Amino acid sequence: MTELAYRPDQDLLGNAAQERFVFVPEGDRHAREFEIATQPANVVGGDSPEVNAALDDAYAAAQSERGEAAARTQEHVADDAELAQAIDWNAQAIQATRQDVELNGF
Amino acid sequence: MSAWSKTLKLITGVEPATKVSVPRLRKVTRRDLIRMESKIGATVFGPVPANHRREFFCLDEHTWVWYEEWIDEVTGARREMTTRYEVHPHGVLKVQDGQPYALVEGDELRNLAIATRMYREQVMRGIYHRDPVTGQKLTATGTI
Repeated sequence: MTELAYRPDQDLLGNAAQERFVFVPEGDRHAREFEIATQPANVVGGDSPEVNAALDDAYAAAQSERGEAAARTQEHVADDAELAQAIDWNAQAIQATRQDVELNGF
Repeated sequence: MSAWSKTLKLITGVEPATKVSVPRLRKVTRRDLIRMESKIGATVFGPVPANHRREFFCLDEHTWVWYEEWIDEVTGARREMTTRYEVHPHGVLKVQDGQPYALVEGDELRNLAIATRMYREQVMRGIYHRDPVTGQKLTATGTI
């Protein structure tokens, strides 16, 4: 059994407050509501190219942002590791020179 | 030009370097070298404030030491702080008197890297008369 539900919320394409009527299967209402909420206005069930495109864009943007954040973190770690390495190289150069001077003088 | 320099030029055909190093009477020790280096190291963070004494030097291949001593203006007591920077595979750790180990990050790490770079540049040239990059001895005309 299904019931007719009224959902006045904004759709994923940013179309504000369009009236939409969707069929919600009874017994699975919450899950179905979430799914339906991702549908554009006036679409009952099924896919829509616009929504799919919007979802793809949103997904790509999220992935991209996540990738950028990860890259920034990696970059930060890499920077710190490079600085630590540079500090070590400076010490090693000094130490090697000291040893040479100790053995062979100035 | 001294007789020695003239003779040398006659043999080698090259003008000898004008700066002649003075032979040392005793073997120089690592402690001597660190003491000399530290005089330069004390300047890489900028001028040392009045009533302060600063030492900054490379202790070994993986350790840098910053020592600061000063007179407390309020109490007149002598204060001192020793900071040891240890380079580990996963980063640089800072060790201070009575403080837990801390990972050095951000500006402090960058400043430390710059300070050690300046230290190397100045110590290699000023004390060891070596090229800071290649480690080769410097002469009046360049590296050998």
